[in-house]
Amino acid sequence: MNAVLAFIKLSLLEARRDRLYLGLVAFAFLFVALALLLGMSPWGHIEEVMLHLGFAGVSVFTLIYAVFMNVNNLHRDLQSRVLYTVFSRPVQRWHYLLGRFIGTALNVIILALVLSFIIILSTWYFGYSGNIRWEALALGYRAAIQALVSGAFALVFATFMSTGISIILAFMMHFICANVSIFNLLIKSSKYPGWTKVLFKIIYYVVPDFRYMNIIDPVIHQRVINWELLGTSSIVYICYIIVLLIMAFAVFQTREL
Amino acid sequence: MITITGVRKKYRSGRKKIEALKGVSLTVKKGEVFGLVGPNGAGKTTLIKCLLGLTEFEKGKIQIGELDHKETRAKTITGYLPEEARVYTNLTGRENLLLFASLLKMDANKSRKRTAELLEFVGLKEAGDSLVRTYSKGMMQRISLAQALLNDPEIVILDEPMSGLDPLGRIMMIDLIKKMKQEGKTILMSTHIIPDVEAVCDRFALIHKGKVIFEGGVAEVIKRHAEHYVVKFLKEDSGLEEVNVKAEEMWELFEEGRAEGWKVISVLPGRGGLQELFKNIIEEHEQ
Repeated sequence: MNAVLAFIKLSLLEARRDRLYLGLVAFAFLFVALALLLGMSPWGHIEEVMLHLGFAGVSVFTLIYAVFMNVNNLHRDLQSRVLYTVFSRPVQRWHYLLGRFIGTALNVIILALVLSFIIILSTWYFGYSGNIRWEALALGYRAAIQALVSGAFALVFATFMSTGISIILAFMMHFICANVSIFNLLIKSSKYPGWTKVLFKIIYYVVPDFRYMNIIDPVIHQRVINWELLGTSSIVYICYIIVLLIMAFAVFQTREL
Repeated sequence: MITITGVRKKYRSGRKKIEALKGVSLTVKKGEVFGLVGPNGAGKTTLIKCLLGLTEFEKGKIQIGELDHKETRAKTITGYLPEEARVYTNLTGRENLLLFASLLKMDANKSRKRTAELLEFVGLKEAGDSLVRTYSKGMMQRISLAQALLNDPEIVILDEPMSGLDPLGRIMMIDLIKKMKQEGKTILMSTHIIPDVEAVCDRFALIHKGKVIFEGGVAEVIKRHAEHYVVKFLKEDSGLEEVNVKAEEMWELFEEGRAEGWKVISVLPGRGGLQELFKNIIEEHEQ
């Protein structure tokens, strides 16, 4: 466990010092600030627009951050060959991957949390209802957990593919997870040959479906939130993350350094 | 202390398989500085990677003391300094040492104490709290060496420790290696810089195209080589000529030269160093 903790600490420290990661965070803050400013335009429904745009920004940037950090941490350590030094010590390869993933996950959660607070407090200050919309934290949580699933996909790809392809494929997986229902339509369509339908079926049943956590409207329009669904889908996503991590461990174990 | 027996390693390069190590065998004795010498691409780093368990090999066996090289205990008695500093550049020198100490499961008090000791040992006491990315190459190499010595290892493996260092950095590194030898550590050092072998190694193996083609003691080889003499002859119509000759063959050479009209200009001890010897061995092997 010492080794895993050491890599978690390393990821947290690096996120604070790496100019690239700091740049990404700064850009995320800027994006959310712009979204909030846009929300304040005199169109009415200030709170709703601010929450919508603000949390869209949180979703985009937590996703970019999770994917980029998972791929870059591993590839940078491989290219700089610091992993030679690391694995010359009594450390298992999965200790390294797990520690790095958890460290990145904590960074993503902190980023989502801070951005969510900024959005919620801005909405309270500039909004009309005078209420602090704490339930909107669920949107930050949703963004973070979905980013972590995509981050886990990115880590799997990064264990055997180049940086660019890993990032592209991870974003593709995020898009597929967010639009799995399309594959159900494709299966039903008669246009496609049999083998493609099998492929679509596999994607439809195997890939996690991000729609189950679609709580945006109920949160923003203050309708009843299905907390049970949020909990169940969280468990499903965590299971996916565990499976993806096991896949990453298995591939990385056989990789030539 | 280290026994390498018949290690064979193939790499896949596209569809081709390249044999990087072709049955390498060698022994490093306890307390000696052993040089693994050879040109670039000879297989030195691959052999070290095999030794450290960083890569798998098809055939052969590597033992560190009585232990198999892959055993956790073997990794706790070994320290490794990779070619060029391989530490985290976004951390300070001290943070790097503390990170690697935690990978060695050292407790917090012990690792803090050891870190301070090592920063002093490698001359980075003042720079210990600066980020490694601000270090010079020599400083990076020294923090990397401190990392290798964290667990006070019995065996230290140094991969090209002097590569890219300025003359002052080289002298400092040679001194550190000598200090480690005095402390009784067993050192395996890979290098392609021959003067480094002469400066610090007790024995060495010459590795070429994945094979050990020579193994011997440095002092003994230098002495044997010094028994040669370089005789310079001059002849009016043919100019100057230089001949390498053994002491016992010198008189005969003088006789032959005189008969052919050559004058002896000088006779000097022919210590061309290991460099020349390596060149000859590699050339012989190529033929």
